[in-house]
Amino acid sequence: MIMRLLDHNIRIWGVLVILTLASVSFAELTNWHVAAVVAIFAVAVVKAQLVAVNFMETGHALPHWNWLYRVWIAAIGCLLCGGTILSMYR
Amino acid sequence: MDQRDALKAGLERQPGTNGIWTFVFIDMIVFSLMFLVFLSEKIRLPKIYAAGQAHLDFRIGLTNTLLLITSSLFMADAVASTRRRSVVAVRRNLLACLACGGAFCVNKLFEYHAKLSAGLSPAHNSFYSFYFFITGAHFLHVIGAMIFFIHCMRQNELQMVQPGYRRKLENVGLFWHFVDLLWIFIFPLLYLTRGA
Amino acid sequence: MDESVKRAVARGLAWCGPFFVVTIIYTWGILGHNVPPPNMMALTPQELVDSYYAKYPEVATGMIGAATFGLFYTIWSCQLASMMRDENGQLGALSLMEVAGGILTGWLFAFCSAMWAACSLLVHQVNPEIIKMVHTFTWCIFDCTYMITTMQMFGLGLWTILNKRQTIFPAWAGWVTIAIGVGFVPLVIMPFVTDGPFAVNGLWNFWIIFSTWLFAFFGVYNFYVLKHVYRSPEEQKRVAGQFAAA
Repeated sequence: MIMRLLDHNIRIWGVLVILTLASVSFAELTNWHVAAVVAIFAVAVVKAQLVAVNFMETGHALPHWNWLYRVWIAAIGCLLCGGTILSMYR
Repeated sequence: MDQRDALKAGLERQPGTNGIWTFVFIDMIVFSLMFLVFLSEKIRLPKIYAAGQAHLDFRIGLTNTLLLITSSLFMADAVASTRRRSVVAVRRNLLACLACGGAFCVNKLFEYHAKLSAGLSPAHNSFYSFYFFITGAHFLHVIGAMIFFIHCMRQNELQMVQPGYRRKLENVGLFWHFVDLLWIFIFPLLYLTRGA
Repeated sequence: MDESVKRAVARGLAWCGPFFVVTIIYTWGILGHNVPPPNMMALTPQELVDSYYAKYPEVATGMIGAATFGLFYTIWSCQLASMMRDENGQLGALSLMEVAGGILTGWLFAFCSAMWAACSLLVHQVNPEIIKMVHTFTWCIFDCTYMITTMQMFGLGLWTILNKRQTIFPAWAGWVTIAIGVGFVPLVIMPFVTDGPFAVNGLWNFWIIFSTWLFAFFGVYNFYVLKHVYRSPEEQKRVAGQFAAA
């Protein structure tokens, strides 16, 4: 069972690495500025949720922590994305 | 009585103590404020921020991101190992975390040195004030976590199989994953949205 | 001193906290036109005089008032320290850090306000260069010695978190206090920048730091101090985690 757990962690790590490389490619290889920004921060939110759920184990925390942490991740992603897009039009 | 029993069971099941979850959440609020102020400045001075971000090398940020993600894997494995009381695996994983953290620190210090040598100090302009402030605050968190890694590694085998040690390592783990979480947002904010 | 007198004194000292908040907002903030303060690093001496000291003569009154009421922070800090006792009823190092920080912070308010009052009183008699020099010198003292208050907040925050027996203050308040204390660190940038969030009137170095210090730290701890001083002596000992008298 522990081997299965370790495998699970390695799978999550693999997904995180792939998502990181994907976000770098959005940034470096595209000229779709707004779409690229949205994609980059969407990837960041997905990565953060993966870390929160699988590594931090927010699902095993008290319900209010689970909710607060996951909402914070989504809110920060939206804030950073929105703020970056706004700065592009100043 | 049922509510108290339910809370007690919840606290028992929760990785780490309630204190660390509180502390990390407050830290999240503090960094939220930093991000908010950063963005307000970026909106006010878009050209200065674009010029500043253009000077950042995304490869350094990418390397640091991969180091922290990998160290999070080792930390998760360390916590899993402590739950099955495998002292050797715990030490090995903590050492790997320490190595990743150390590599991150070296990378960061080289980056700071390059900036400071080029005359780009925190007082240079608004962007660099924030660059050093946000990454500096994050850097201090990395150093703090590494001190905890060393502390956890220095426990002897008898101490490492106690339930208190498991809790301690879960606390350290939660903090380290938070450090990774922060960088997951700092990396795109500073290094990837350079063209924006 | 008998018990009823001690309790009355404690309550009086505890009320110095809210009194400090109200009076300092009025004297230092409103009369002193410090919400936000003028950005002296971006102003020439003449501009500073024209836009601030010459324009608002009430600054002198406000600052003299702040020099008086600023020390109520120290009085409150002493009351707070007297509550921060170990299980055996003694004041430990963290309590002493708290009171030392409270004394020095109160002194800063008094001393710096007196300096700014002098600038205001002498604005028509002294060169603008000298006014700006004293004004800037005072702000550097006021802001860049932030470690005084950070030390107080660390002492208080750590005592709150590490003293597991006490229930006077909730653990989250201790964490918040430590976080706010750390948030003061960017004040080191203040003297070197002329605009942006780290300027003397900036979003971080003024608005966020002052409002979190005054409301999220001072306001929160004021609430719990007042709650505590109105408890019975037995209840006070119990929540303080002190052993019951034999």
